[in-house]
Amino acid sequence: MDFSDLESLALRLEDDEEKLRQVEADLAWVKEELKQKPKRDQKETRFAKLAGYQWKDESDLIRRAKALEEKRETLINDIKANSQSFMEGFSSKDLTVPLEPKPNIESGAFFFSYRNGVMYPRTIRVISKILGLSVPIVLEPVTISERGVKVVEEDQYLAKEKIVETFEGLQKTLALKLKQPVRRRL
Amino acid sequence: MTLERAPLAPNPVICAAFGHCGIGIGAEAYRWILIDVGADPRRPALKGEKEQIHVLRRYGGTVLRFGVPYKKAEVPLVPRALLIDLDPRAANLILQSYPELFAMKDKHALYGMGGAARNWAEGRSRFRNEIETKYDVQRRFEELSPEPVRGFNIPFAMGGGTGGAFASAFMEHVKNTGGGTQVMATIGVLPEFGWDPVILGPASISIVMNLDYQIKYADMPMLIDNKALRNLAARFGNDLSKRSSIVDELPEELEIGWRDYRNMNLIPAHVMSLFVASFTRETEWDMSNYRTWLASSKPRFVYPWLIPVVPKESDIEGILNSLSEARDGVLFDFEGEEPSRMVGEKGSCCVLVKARGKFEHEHRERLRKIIKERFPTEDKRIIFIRIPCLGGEPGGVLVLLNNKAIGNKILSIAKEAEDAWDGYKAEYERWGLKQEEFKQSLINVVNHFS
Repeated sequence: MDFSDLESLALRLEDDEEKLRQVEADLAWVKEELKQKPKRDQKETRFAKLAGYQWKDESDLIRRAKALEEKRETLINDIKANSQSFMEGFSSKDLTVPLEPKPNIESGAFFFSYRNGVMYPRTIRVISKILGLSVPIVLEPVTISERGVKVVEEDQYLAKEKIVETFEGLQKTLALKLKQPVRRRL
Repeated sequence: MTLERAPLAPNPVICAAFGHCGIGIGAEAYRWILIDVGADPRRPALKGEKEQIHVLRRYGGTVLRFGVPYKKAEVPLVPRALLIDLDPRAANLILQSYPELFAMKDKHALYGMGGAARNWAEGRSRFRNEIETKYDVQRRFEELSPEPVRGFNIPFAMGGGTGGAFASAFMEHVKNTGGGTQVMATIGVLPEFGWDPVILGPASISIVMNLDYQIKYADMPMLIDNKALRNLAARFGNDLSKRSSIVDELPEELEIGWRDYRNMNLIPAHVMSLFVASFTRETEWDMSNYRTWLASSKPRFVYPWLIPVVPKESDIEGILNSLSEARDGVLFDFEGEEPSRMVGEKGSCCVLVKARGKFEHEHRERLRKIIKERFPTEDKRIIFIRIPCLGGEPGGVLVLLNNKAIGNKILSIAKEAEDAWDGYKAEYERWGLKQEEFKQSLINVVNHFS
């Protein structure tokens, strides 16, 4: 798996998370309406009686709430599955981070941009979110951003070594997160 | 008193003991060392030049210094020990119970304003506020050691609030102020969850943070596991109860804490005495050599294997025979896993052999075989260091193992810390440990021990 695959997964993840936020907002509104419903129904019924017609509930709130609940459930499952795939992909031994082999020097540090100037904003955002870090990801002396990887080192060889170590650290921590909760012997 | 034939002592090493556990182990280690020397541990003093040479041959002025002579020209031996705690009770108790051992009185202790609530972040923050800014720590070193300090032995518990946090902040302090030449050997004790009075989630967070500091700052980090210590203390209870301990002379009403840990603390005290002897006695090894040994290792941590746990014999034959009587012990608990399967390819070890007489090729081969059977290690990665065994003191072998076998346990603690973080985040952030810093430390520790 490489960063392009991860970026597609991250796109789906962020998309679904946005949809989930919207669904949850809608659901909250519908639930509030449902809370008010008995009082309103009573008023509508009394009014209908006074006005001499048969009142019929056409708000459809219960059906909408059910539909939203189902949608929410589906999105949560999709997010969970995509998140799992993302973590498995990132922590896999075959992960490719498409960095240019030769770095540029930027303010006294080595900067390895991603190949062909491609940017991976979503991948970086998702990794940092899962690990509870900020964007860009700073693990001294390495900074990983959407544009590439910056290393504050004196030597290019050492800089490359630090990048490998840092990505290994991220991969292993994600792998640890994927593990089941610790079960201790009794 | 001038000495004509005294060997040149290496530069001083201070024992900086942190928290209840660290103070218990540090004070016990000094008692062990003084008994080795043949001194009265309650009032260690030298009565003449002959005795002084005797002591110098064993420990030099490295971990002990000579105080101002008493009447009759007796020279007190003063531990170069600094006892540091937020709660003054543990250090006070030791100082008050042994006024003539810790003869520099309050200069041996640094106190804060009460416990750190089992919170690593609170401990670190309060070390900075209550110790670093209020005391002149550098001056305290100079008082304990007017000669330049060459290194520190730092015992502490890793799962509590004060020991682990204070030791972390102290290591950082030394590295930032000491010019980078001082060697730091840490003796970190992992708690036994469900037995020691620690809280699982915060203790796991504390261990992760403390390990990260040891990775960054310690030169010779040693890990000891309380579960293994408890098992060994029970197994060798009879032998250990015959050894003298600082606890024996503490006020009788102190039942909790000190007495529970009496035998357990004697075991790391034995480890510390052998470790100290490896660079203070007439050996070809220096404290800074440990730094080079571990510089490129991953993990850069060692764990001890004591042969035997309670020393009796001083000749190498007797010491090796203690293995066939199962009187040895590894001070780490692998939680049921077989360590030989987890050591990795680049494991190494440092074998400190304190024995009387010759240590022949045949002995070396026997010891090598025994080590390799249990912890498969390439011949060329085994370092033997001979320590002279002097006077009537018993000998022993301390194998300092550096391999990956400890990784699984540490990773399960890291997982526990990661799972616990969200629940405790607010409490830690209040004391200055931000999520970013914790997560960075977690990644570093996971990477280091994987």
